[in-house]
Amino acid sequence: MTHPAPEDWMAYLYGESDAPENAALDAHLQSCATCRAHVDAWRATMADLERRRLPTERRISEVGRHLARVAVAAALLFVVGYAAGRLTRPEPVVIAPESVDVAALRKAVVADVVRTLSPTLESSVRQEVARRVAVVVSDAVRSELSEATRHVRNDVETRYRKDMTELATSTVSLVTTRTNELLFAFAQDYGASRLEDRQELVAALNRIESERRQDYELLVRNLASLATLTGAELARTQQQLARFVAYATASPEGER
Amino acid sequence: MTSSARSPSAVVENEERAEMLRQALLRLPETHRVVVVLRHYENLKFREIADALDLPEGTVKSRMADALTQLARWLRHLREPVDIKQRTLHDSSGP
Repeated sequence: MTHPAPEDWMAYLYGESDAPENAALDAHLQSCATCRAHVDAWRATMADLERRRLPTERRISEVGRHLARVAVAAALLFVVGYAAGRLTRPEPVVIAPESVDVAALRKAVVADVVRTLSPTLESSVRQEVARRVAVVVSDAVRSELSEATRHVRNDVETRYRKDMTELATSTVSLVTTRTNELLFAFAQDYGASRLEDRQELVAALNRIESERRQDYELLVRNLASLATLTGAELARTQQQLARFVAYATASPEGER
Repeated sequence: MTSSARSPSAVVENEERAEMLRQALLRLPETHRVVVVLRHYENLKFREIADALDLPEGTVKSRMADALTQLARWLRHLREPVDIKQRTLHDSSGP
């Protein structure tokens, strides 16, 4: 009997195969103990992974909407600045110092890249905000919270940096292709006019790209380690956040 | 079954399992861990993971399968006689 490939089983297990495929795999599963054993083991592990992720999801909802708002606001500021900073950072790159044109151009390229990316980032963040924050916050509460925010802002930012790193990772990776096209178009335009500068430019672009690549890899690494960090750290975070929520909710009512 | 009685021992056990899983995830090669994380924590589809990592979708799926196999193996080693969890729940068929 030929067994379905692991890839097929993955699609099946993660609900990405279509009905006919499902039916075929179901049927195979009925008759094949070997595959059943594999699938059972995979399922058990998937269940473990899913169980583990619960706290991460609960973090926001359980901790309370007040905090979610603050956190989202902090994260909003953070992620835009963070991603933009990351992407613009090829500042200290060593390019041929005499080629002022290239430096200027590179600046323009970077500005353009950031301009291209920012809306994407912002809209991702907005979606994220919309997803997380169901209730509109009143101005009064908001000002109370912003007062309270100052005290814990750093904590919250640190905590949510990780979450937002995830967001930034997916966003950055999604726009990579577009950015590359943009950079390439720039390189071509410029190359048409002056060849030797074009070489400089390409070198500069390569640097940008490699830095961006590194940043991206760093983000991915952070993201991967996020998965491994959530246990003990999460407990600590929740305490911090719970304290903050208590503070943030107590003060508006308590003082009036 | 969903009446999750959060007894202290259940909490501890849960913690332990979480720790095991964490260790296991750490042992995965980064190439595989990334896939697991993107799938389970970011809820990305295989197609999206493939795009994000610039890999063929089949590779992503096969890494996922490898990762799950590996994790299953390690976790089975870690937790000893885990057979069927329901047995502990029902508890009626004592040893």
